[in-house]
Amino acid sequence: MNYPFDLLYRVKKPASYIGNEYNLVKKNPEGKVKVALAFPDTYEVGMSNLGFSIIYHIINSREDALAERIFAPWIDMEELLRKRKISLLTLESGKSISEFDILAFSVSYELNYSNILTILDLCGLPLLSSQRDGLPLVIAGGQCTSRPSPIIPFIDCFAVGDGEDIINEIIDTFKEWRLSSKDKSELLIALSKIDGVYVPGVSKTVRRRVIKDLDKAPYPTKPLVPNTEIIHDRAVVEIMRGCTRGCRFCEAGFLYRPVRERSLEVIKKLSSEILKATGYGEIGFLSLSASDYSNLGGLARYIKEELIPSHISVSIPSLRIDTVSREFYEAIGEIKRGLTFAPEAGTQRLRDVINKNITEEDIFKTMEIVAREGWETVKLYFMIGLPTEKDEDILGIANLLNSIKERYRKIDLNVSVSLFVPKPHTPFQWVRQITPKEAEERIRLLKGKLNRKVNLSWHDPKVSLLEGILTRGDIDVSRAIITAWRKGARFDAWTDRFSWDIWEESFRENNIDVDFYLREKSLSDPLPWDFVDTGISKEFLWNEYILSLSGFKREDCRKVGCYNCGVCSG
Amino acid sequence: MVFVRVEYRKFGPLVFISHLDLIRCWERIVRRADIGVSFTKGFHPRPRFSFSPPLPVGFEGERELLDIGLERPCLDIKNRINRAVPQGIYVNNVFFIQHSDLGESVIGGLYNFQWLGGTDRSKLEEGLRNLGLQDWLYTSEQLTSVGISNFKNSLSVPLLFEKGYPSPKKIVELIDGTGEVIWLRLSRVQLLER
Repeated sequence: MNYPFDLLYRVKKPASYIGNEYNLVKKNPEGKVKVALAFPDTYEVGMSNLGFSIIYHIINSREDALAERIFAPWIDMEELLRKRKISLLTLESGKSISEFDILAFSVSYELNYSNILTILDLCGLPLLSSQRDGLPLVIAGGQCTSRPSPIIPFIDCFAVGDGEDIINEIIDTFKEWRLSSKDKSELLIALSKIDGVYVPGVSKTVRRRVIKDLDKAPYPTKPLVPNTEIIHDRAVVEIMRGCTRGCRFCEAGFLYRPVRERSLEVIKKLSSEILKATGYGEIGFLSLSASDYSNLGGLARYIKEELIPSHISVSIPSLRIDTVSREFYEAIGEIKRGLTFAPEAGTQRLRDVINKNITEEDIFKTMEIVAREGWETVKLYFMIGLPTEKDEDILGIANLLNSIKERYRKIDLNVSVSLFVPKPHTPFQWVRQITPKEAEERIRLLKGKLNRKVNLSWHDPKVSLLEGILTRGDIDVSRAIITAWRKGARFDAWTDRFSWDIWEESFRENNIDVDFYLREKSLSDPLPWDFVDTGISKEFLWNEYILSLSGFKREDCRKVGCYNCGVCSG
Repeated sequence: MVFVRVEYRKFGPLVFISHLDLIRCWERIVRRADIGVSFTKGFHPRPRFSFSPPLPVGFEGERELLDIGLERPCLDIKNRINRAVPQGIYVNNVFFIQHSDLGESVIGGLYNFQWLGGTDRSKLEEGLRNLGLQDWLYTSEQLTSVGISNFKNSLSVPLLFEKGYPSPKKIVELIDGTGEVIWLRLSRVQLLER
């Protein structure tokens, strides 16, 4: 163990700091490029992140490099570390970050931004790149790097898109630089030449990196097995990356194009290796939309004939009920006791606007299956604040749920409502985000009309407000992030830690007009993420936006042909 | 079905995992060790286990017990398991048994606290008494008579499960006293059977 032994007796979750997972390899650092991988959330969240696990695996597969991990310490641990003047230590060797060449953040959620600062500070590093000279080089990858402006001042170099190839090229470039130079600015210039890398102050634009063939991509077959329960505590095989359903609100649907499938053969091979190496009793098949996997029948047979008899249970998130074959149902149907699905909007008109191709008929067909299988609970997701939304759309949610409840009295309906955050690089990037006050009014309207037996819960609209600002923000927002962090903002994604008051004060003190980031934009307005080219053309997104306003639907491009979004041509 | 009784140590980093974590950990160990474990029925199959009463988080266990149901007897179980454990679990001994009766037979444990810095033993003893645990708190003299020595910075106490035990956090607080303890080791040395 790396921290003084008694320290762990004084924190709430000591198991988050012990490391020592099964499959852990401790490497001799001699002569290697030493990378500290940092996840700006708890151990339990970070260890559930597939991207983090893939990058860790790739670096440690190299003979000339090593990766060790750090996570954001919980509040009690942070206090103790500060009190005793101990810096953050890696789980593997217990070294402080000053002994590493590269500090690499995995940033997949804006509400983790304040934790980036906690980690930098507890590592003894200045928060601003401009105040850090020498090593470690601080880099970042993950979903947020497609709109990185608010964290640009903290990070030396961003990796945009699929990280599998970029991380290797960064390490190669670093090795070469180390042999010939000690000047960090030369390193940054060399890094900026890598496809998919953005170096603030050097690069002008960056094009999202895409790996072509998932079958050839490296994948962790001996993942670490945490000693304490993490959020997704199971073996994971990614079966498909990308989604072409074209839901206009969905960031992942645009950011991970094009669709790339892993072949069933490779899925089987990975699954059996991982299960053997870890001893997991459960496996999850990961994708944005499992129902669209071409060989779903083959996957079902594999589950039924090989996994179930080996006492392995299976979870398949993002499985739509509407397209599932009968065979699939027989294979996995009984594994699930509940079902989750997301109509997102309450009226057909609004579902057409956002291109969520689900009809009321589909919803009732699904409920029919749920009732027949004897499942007890259904969880439904809706958003409010979608473009063109009117009171009748909110009432539509209530009507829909009431009629489901009336027909299926025995099934528990749990409904979760969130406030729509219009995301960069989607057709709705120009749309206004509604205020928390409007959101509260619409929730009140919904509550008033909803059958009391339907369990309704909703996200704090102020959390979505902050998410909107940090997602759509420009470089000025970084000042408020520092201020908020100084005032104590930590783990903003955790409802018990979130404090809008801190953030509001911080925006005010830095003269940041919050409304500026949330208001509607026009095609000619510059957007803070314009310099990131995701491969999807702005014209395509704008056309989609205009089409959405009249409720013009788009079918899946894999079924009806190309719409020229730009991704596949490049 | 046969049962194998596993006597193991839980130590090092793993003292900080909870009993539920330990169960998950053992499920994965026996799957990796491939010793022909018997599983429960249903769509979330789990190995048939019976554990000795939970160790509090923060405690080392020197001789913990676990009964595992097997489909059939398996050779070389001890080595197979010890090749599949994470650092912090180690099997001392295994033996086959006919019936698993851990739940009824184990009634308590002998606990040992050792530390450096902080307060001395008499203060801890006093603190524990004040928690209302005087019933089972043996005096040092009584313990010496059965061969257990308590030094200045060490205290051994047998505790019965039905009486409950103080939380490790409370023990650390008591040991801290006026200063702060710099090193400590809390352990369950052995289980007490009926």
